[in-house]
Amino acid sequence: MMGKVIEEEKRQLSDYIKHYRPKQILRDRIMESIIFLGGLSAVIFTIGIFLFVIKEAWPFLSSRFSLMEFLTNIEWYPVSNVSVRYGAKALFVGTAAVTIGSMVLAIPVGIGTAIFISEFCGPKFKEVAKILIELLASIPSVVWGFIAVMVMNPFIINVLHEPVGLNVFNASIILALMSIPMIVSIGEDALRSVPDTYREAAESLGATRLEVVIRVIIPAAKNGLIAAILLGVGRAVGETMAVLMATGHSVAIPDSIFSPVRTLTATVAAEMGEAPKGSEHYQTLFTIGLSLLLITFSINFISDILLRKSWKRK
Amino acid sequence: MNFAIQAFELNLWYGTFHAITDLTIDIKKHQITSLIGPSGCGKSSFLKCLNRINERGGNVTVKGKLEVFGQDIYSSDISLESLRKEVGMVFQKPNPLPISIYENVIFGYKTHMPKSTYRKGDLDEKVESALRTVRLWDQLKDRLNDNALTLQLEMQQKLCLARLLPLKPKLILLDEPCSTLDTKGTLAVEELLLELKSSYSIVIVTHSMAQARRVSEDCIFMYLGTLVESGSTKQMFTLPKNKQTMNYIEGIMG
Repeated sequence: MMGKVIEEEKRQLSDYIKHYRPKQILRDRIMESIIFLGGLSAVIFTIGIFLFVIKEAWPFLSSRFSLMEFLTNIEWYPVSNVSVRYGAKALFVGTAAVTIGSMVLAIPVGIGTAIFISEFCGPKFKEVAKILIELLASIPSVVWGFIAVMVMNPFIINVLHEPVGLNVFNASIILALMSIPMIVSIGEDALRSVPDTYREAAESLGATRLEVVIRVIIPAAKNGLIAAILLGVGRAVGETMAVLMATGHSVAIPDSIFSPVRTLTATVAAEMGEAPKGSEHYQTLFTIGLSLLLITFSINFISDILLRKSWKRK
Repeated sequence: MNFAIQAFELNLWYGTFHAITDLTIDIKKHQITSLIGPSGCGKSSFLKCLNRINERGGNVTVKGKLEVFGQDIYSSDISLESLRKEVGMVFQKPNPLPISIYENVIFGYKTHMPKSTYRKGDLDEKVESALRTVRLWDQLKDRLNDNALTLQLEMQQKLCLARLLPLKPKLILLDEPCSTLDTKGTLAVEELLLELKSSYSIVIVTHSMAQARRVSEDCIFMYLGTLVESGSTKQMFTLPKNKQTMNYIEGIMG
């Protein structure tokens, strides 16, 4: 008799558990799978883009392509009637030149601004500065290109008395202005994530604000700051429209900062329209695209590792 | 002069909140004085006036007079940096800097001494002597270059005490230094304090009646931002003059 009652109670309990809030649980499952698909799609797209670029470049990569020629020859004659040459050295050097040039300017200004906003300025100025910097980040790159052509170009010719206004110098300044917002905003995040107890501890030992920043905050935020810089570098390497307009688009190894150059990105953008689909020229452009992808991918990868490291410590 | 601290009608506001009202108190040199009272009674606020670290947050107003070793610390010619060299502080949560153990101990010293006045050997000596005083030297001498954050909490808190010593502060403030430590750690830190009091004047904020009783000569009981009773710890814990003090000590209030 007792056993039966207990059995009955058990059955009721398991029914209750099985049918507990069925609607909510179903909704939860559905949402979960939608979100999972969303996450999965990001992975699929990334791999897909890689595969697509490799596939388009493959016929060239597997036949005529020579890494030696691609990296060390400066002769870029993809459509020559006599002898086609695919030396991308000048393009790599051009990209490197404007990237380095822009970083020389953007790193001190960007990190300096991040430190000022995070550690020194008052809350009101901080609000305004952050809004303005975000606004700077939202300017389309073709507008920066206009500034390069219409403002920087005459400035370099008339004031600095250089014969060509569209050159490494011009592009570096435009690219610096474009990467600074990114460096500031990620650098500021890194500095802000340094616990305030460190500042308090150092100040209680009698350190001034500047000493606290130099001896405690910057070392503590080091990885995040490097990541901010690397993302800025990635931005500069990958930027296309503005550098296409600002560099002068001449395939040559620059001998001064006022020499015109051409970058990898600008080459793809400028020549893609004329290259018949499937032609060798088309395939070389995809090879350049693949190189760019590898460069930016490794930069992002490194900065990701550094950011992860800087979070783990907290 | 026998007093380390003399406060006269000290008032403190955070914005419009009146945290300390008309506090007048003398605290003696070369002994441990404990500040007790329920949370939010102003004892930590008072402690943080003594090295003016509470001004970091802004929005702080202080009126009245506060002298540390005869020096009015709110006079305009006082620099915060030099005040904090004389008045060291250990915080509630151990807060070593995210740098090596060695650099933590010598951080304050390097901050205040011009580089030309010391050699590397001097620094090594200072670090060793500070770590010996807090009894960490034997455990840590082989890992001085490790990040201080890798230490366990008790060691971190001792390190926070050790880093004050190379500066030879006159006054050491402790804001509930043992609240994150276990019994063993608490007793170890208390033992250190008892050793240090011959060379330093110490003020400790504590929530533990037992701790106040164990370590302090004098005791100050605050409630709602005002001083209720002060005097020798022994007398206060056996024969409190004030009813509120008695209630707090016996655990009826607070």
